[in-house]
Formats: sequence, C-alpha cells, structure tokens
Amino acid sequence: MSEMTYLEAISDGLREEMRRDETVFCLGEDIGAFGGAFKVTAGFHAEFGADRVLDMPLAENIIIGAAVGAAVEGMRPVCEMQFADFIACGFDQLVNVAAKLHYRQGVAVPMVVRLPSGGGFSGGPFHSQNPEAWFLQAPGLKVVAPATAADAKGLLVSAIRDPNPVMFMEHKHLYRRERGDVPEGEHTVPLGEAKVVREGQEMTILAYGSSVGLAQDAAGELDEDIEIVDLRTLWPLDRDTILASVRKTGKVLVAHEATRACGVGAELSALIAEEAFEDLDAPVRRLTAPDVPIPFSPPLEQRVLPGLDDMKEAARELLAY
Amino acid sequence: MSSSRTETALTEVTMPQMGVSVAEGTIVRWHKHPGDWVAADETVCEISTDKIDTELPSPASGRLVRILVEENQTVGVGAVLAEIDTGAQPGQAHEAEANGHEPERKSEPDRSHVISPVVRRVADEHGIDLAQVEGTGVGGRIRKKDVMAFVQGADRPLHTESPYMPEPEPVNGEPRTPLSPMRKQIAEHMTRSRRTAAHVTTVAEVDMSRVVARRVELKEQFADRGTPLTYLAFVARATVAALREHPVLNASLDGDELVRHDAVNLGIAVALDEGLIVPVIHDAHRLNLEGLAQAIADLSGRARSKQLTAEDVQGGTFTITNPGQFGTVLATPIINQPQVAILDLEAVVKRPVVVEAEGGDSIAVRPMVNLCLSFDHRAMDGADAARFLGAVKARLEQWADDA
Repeated sequence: MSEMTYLEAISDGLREEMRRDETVFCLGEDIGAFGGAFKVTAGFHAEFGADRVLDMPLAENIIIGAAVGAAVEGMRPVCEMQFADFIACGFDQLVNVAAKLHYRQGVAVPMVVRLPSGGGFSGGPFHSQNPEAWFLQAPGLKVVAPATAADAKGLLVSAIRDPNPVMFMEHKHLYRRERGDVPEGEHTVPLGEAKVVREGQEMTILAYGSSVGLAQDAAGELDEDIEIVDLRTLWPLDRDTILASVRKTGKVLVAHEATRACGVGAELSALIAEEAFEDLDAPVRRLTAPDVPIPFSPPLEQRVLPGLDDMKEAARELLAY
Repeated sequence: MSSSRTETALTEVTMPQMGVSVAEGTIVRWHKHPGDWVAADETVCEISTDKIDTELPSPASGRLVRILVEENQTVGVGAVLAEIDTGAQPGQAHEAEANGHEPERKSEPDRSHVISPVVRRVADEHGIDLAQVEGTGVGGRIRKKDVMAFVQGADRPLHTESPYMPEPEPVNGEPRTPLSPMRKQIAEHMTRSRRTAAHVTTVAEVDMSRVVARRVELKEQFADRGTPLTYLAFVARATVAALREHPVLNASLDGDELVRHDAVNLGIAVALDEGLIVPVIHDAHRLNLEGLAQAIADLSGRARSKQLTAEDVQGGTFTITNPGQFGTVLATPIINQPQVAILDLEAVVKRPVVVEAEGGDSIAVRPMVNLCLSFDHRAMDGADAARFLGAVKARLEQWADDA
C-alpha cells in the first residue's frame, strides 16, 4: 500500500498496465511531452516513447476512430479526452461504431476512454459536464465512475483488460483532493460490483463519483443510521447490491452531480420501483444538479452543484418521512 | 383545477372578553374540527379563564376551515381561535376537498392515512390492524420502523403466567400530570392573596338550636316549591344582614383605598372535581331566606353542570365557604381577593354545652357550629371582625325569619 491521490492512482494503474502489456497504449491531446492537461501521463512519454503515448490533433472523432481500429486489430488503446465534454465530437465513432461492433460482427473492441468530468472550478458549460448518462443509452458501452483512489486504479486496470469499450469517468474535483491507500503493483476492482461503504438501517444513499464523499460527510455530520452504496460501475449496474440495500432500509436517496432528467438517478429510481416496490417506505428521492448548463459564475455554479448542505437536507427529509 | 365556486367568506372565532379583568383564556377542548359543519351558536370549543370555564358558541353558520389555537394553549382576549367558511353549504364538500388538494395548513398535513408499500406488506404478513399502530413519520405517517416495532411488541408474551404482582414502579416513575388551567389559576389566586393580605382568623361557636328547629319546620314546604333548605342559607341570610350593619367587611382594598360596596354580592364557594369555583349571588341583601336558598341551589347546580355565565362569577364583595358539609370543624380560609374577609361555615355537630338559666347552670346537648372568619388586618382590626362575627352569631342563635 502507498498513499496517493486519485490522480496519481489513475497514472499508477495506467503505467502498471502499459508496463505489463505491450498492446496497451495512450492517445489524446497534449498527453505526450506535455503530460496531458491534468498531468495524468506526466513522464509516460519518457518511459514508453512517442509510439505508445500518441499526441493527437484536436479532433476527438479521430482519437476515438483510431482507437476503435487499433482495438479491432488486437491493441488495447486508452483514449484521453482533455475534458469529458469533448466526447461529443467523437460520438459517432463511439456509439455507432465502438458500441455496436461486437453486436454486428462479433468483434471485440477492448478500448478505454478516460473522461475528466465534473465541475466546481468555474470551468463553465463546456468543461464541467458529467455526461455519463449519454453512454447508458448506447448498449455495448460499459461505464465506470470511481470515487476513491484505490478504486480509480483498480477500475482502470479492469477497464483496460475488459474486451468491451469502457467509459472511464474520472472526476476532476477528486483528482488532487481525494487521496488514500492504494495497493502497489497489480490491483483490480471488478466491473459491475458496487460497494457498501457505510452500513446503516434507516435509509440508503446510492452515489458515485464525487457524490460518495459528500454522502459520507453528510451521514457523519448527521450521525444517523444511513447506508451508503458506492456504485463504482454505472453500467452494468450491480442490481443485487443496490436492491439488497433498498430492501433493508426501504428509503433511497440517489445522489449524483450530473443533471437530473433521464440521468443515472432516473434509471435507479425506475429499477427500484420495478424490483423493490413492496419494500419501499418512502418515495425514491434524487439529489442532482438541475437541468441547466453549468454556469461560469462561481456563486451560480455553487448553487447548481449539489453540496453538503443539500445532501444533509435531503437525507433529513427522507429520514423524517 | 378551475373552480366555479364563489369566493370563500371567512368568519373568525375569537377569544371573548369574559369580564373586565380577564386578559386571556385557555382552550380546554375543541368540539368541532376542520371540515366540520358548525351551526350559529353551536358550541365550537370549551374555554377556561381565571373567572370561569365556559362553552364558546359559534358566531356564524358554516364550515370550520382551520383551528389556529390548539387545546391547552392560552391566548389573549381577541385572539383568533378558528376560521369558519360562511360561504360553504351544509353537506357540500370543502373547497380543498372538492379540488382534490390538501387544505392549506400551518403545520404538516395529516399523513396518518398514507401507507407505504412496505408498511402494507409487513402489516399483511403479520395480520396487523394499522389503525393500532402509531405513526412517527412526517404528518403522523406510519413508517416501516413503526410497524416493525409494533410487530416486535405484539410478539412479546403477555404478563399473565406469573402468580406474583409485578414490582411497583419506582418513585421517580410515578405518574405526573400537568396542572389544569383551572388549578393553575386557583394556585396563582390563592398564593397572591396569601402574599398580599394580612390574614387573621377568628372563630365563634354558635348554638344552632333555633336554626335547626326552624329548618325542620320550613324544609318540607320549601322542598315543595323546589328549593332545598340548607344551614348555608341561614348563615348566608345572617351574614348579609350583619354586613349591612358592618360595611367595613363588605369592601375591597384597592391599593391604599378601601372601597365600601353598597350592594352585598355574596360569593358562595362550590367545590367541583376540577377545582373550586365561586359563583356570586348579586344583591343578596334584597333576598330573604327562601330567595337565598333558591339562589344557592341555582348557582351550585349550574356550577356543577358548567352552565355558569361570566356574570355569575363576577363582582363578589364577600365570600362564604362551606367545608362543614364534609364534617370538618375548623379552618383558616384564604380571602378571595380583592375582598377583605371570608366566612367559613363548619359542620353543625351536637355537643354538650353549659346553659345558663336563672335556676342555675346546666349541661345540655346542643347543635353547635364553628364560624371561622378570616379578615385582612390591613383593612380592619380584630374588634371590627369580632363585632361582625358576634352579630352573625346573635342572628343565628336568636333566629327570626324577618330579621
């Protein structure tokens, strides 16, 4: 074990896999000598050379398209979107090619797209989004969203080894704030497994990414009997762990930073209504950003993003119900 | 949700002025609840003031929309207690009900009828009547934890097998109940009197032979006219007459001034289960023995049936209390402020007494009573009180109907 930040853990996992497997390589904008916009690949160019750390033009459709081709040919590409928002430019290659190749032609597409996402730094509407729900509408893609340093490394390693395209949502706010013990050397966290990170009887908070720490802080400050499930993988969902917690507590708050309509919370609410209706003691509640773009203005952005007080208030209301 | 109904016309039910010195009142019980139809003059609630407990009639016909003052809350005179929709028709659904919306309320809406899926399922599985389960959720909603606690409680065996009495509750577990508004008012009134007045109690022994004899003679014919004749009526008559001769006792202390009252408004203490109340016989000096007996029967009867009006308990100038009916022989009563004296009638008991006669003293069995007079030494001295008490004694011992 060694303590590292969420960002260092991502670098560590990527470096471990590149050292272990020569078919693993990176491609993205400014990721070579510059080390990437957030320095995830700092030092990679020197260690692995320009052939495995490819600086790409400002054209996400080329980044994704090149990765799909390489993956089909047996490589394991790891794409870096400079910001998750920019995936929109590579969408056709992603949802119509990468996501459907196995279905149409039985071809494996073992590629990873790393998506620095999330707000909280006045990045405005083009650099702050949490677009994970877009990908849930494209069958064939897997989506992961780690909340801790150890999970960031373990999930990235598993994503690289997975034979399917995996969207890796890495939250920018956690990059240097979230830190913890991370296993050295080989460390994997299976895709599709959620984790109960706090046990409780009175209510369940289903969260992922930046909302997990917020939920833990809220539960700690409220000192109530709250269970928290860190989803870790958003698709495929770990239905067993989610429904077991819902059946135990009967009250559910779904929390994410992404916008509300048709988000992960909506999918979870529907799942719970379908599978656990007779175990519900309260309506399923959602704590999300409202359905608006993320503003530049710091006070407006603070208002839009769910915060600790919002989380505590939502939990209190549900507990009292 | 458009509505073709006419606009709601609201009439307020307010805390009434129950006497010049009454500043506030307490809601004892609501007879009507939101949504109920109320006819004009129908009782909406019971209120308690420091003068009187009474029922409050509705100022108008309509539907009770909302209650603004809960039971046991005390509010000032004029405070709005409830609102009545006088635009409503009897039998017609309340506007909010007709629109399918919860009526707007200050507190959480009642959710005691909202049953969540899991509560329904647990109740079905355990055969539980949810009406028996107390909800602790928002608006009284039954939560999963409530029904689970009920299930666990129901599974506990009843304490029937043991041949032994259960251990008594520890002392600090003895039941505690808050004082009723009436008890609190009596407590305040009595301690204030004890604190302000310079109480002295003087006692006279009275030979009631003549009164007893006269009561036997009159009792039946009074009863025929519907009037019970008690010793209290005789004492009241003697007291009123003596007060006319000794007006210093038919008075009030107002700061440094003694206010002498022309009329004798005689308060009669009546013990009720809830507490003591003192209805007043106004202009008692105008009544003869039968009139006083009638007034006493009327007021004590109405006190017990809670039919007294505010006027019935106002304006007393002197008070008689009558614990002797329970067999006691001595007391030191507390003056009913702002009056300056109170007369206490104890039990009439037969006792051997020395009777002086020309042929020599002898011992006779006589019906005797102790009259205990508490007076305020600020307003008078012992001689005034003793002279008054002597006058009462003389009138009783030499009873004459017209005196």
